[in-house]
Amino acid sequence: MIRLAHVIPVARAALLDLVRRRDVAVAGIFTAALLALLAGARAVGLENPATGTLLLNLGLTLAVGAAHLMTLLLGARQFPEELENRTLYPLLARPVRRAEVLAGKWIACVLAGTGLYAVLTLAVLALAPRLEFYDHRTGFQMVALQIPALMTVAAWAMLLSLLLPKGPAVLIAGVMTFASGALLRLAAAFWLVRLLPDVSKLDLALRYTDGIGPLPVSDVILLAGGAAIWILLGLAAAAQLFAGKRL
Amino acid sequence: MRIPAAKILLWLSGLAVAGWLAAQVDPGRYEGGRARDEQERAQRNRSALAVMLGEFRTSASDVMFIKTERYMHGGVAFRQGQRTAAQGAEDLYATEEEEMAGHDGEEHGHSHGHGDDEHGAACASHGMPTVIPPAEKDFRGWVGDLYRAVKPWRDSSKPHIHTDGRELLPWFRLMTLSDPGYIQGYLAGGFWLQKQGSAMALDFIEEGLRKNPEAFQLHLSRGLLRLRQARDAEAGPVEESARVLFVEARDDCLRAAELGLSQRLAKVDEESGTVEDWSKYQENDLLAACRLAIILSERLGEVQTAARCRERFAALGPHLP
Repeated sequence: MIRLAHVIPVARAALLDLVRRRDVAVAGIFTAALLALLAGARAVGLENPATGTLLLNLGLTLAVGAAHLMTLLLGARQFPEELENRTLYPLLARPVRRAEVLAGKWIACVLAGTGLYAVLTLAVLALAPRLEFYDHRTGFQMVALQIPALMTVAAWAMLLSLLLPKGPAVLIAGVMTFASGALLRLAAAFWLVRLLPDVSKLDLALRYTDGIGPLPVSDVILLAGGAAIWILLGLAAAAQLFAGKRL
Repeated sequence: MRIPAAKILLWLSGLAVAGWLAAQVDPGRYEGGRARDEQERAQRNRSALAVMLGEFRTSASDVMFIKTERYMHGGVAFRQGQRTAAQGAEDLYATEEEEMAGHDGEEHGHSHGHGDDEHGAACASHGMPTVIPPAEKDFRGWVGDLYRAVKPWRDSSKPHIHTDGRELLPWFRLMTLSDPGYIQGYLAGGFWLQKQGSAMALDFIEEGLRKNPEAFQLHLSRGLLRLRQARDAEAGPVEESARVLFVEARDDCLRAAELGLSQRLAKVDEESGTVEDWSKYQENDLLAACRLAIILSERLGEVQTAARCRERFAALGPHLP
């Protein structure tokens, strides 16, 4: 049983570490660069609505990419660095279970990724000119489905970092996050590839900027259901590996 | 640490279930969409923002399409958004339709892309500005001279040199893998593949049709490929196989015409009567499909079918035979 009272301090500590290591500053610089691009494009003026859509799509795609990258890097570094620096031992010396440490760190990664995604998406939606029709219901689905996507990325990055050294873990998690859709299409005949979590399915940015209507509720349930299983399996396997890890 | 096999099996089963659930939904599978619309694409690629971003585009398939143009022109970069590659099935396979119709394509007012004739392609892209400008238009002086000397460049006033297209094929494979809804990739890829063998091209187009069953241009493309096969088979000893192929080609063209017509009707603005978001390439392809459906029905001796087609497609105007 995971006790929330033990999970929250771990999550808070991981988030504090994020601020201390200036990750927030890097995210801020990235956000500022994106805002400058959008503001610059607005100031210069857009020749046609299609260019406005290009800008909106570009901004939303960058928002998803940046949030996924941040979540992935955070997730992949939580355990290897703490083990290497031996900062995990004082934490585990307290009456806290390993699964609670894992859950706390996972929550911190998800919160950081979701925060960055929210800031960037809000900025893009506020600044990018919307000169064509966009279905706001699709926009809502687009934002809502990114939360399970980020949860999946965080869980699997942590799982891979417990299984492999940090470098290969980041590489494989990166492929899984950014190229699983293409891999699935490229090698669909190999059943092993079909087991890969495909978070690209949860990205509706193109659907939104294409002006297409929302997905049927049944489709959203299927996607969310699939993502929930990926999250649970990622966390369960990570917890199993962490519990059995000799420290 | 030993993990029980049953646990691993259960975990893998969970992954399989999640994969199955996700495979039931494809959010990127929808008809139309601005990213795939040729007119919107051209507008975007001509914008100042697109020029600033270089080869970055809204989709990987678009980036790859630009790559195929570079490869086709031996590395020479032409201004983006002014594509030399043909846009529609009719442009690509113009020869087939013209020979069946027995008249020149210019009669019904379209220019060819590549067709079978490389000279036709050279003419179509003749005079298109290059990314590296010629010396008289380049303000950079010796820097421009250096660029023209070390980078692939050709004076745009001279006829273009086209490669044989074999090296383009992997790009078409990649662009359709990255975006299975990118119909243009299937059309152009099918055209270049048929130079290597029509069976391969047919497989490629059929893959496109499995993923985009409503794409009328792909139905037309398959019809044109089968028509080419039928004409080859006609020259051989077994006449019956040629007839079967002619029937299949006619059916494809008929299906393309029906689909295209219904898609065109859906885009007619009721007030002004104009067709919105409908490119000239789509219009040309629709006309080609209707014409071929009629011509092939007549050739097969199915006069009643031809008459029905004429009646059904009369809304398209005077270009029908």
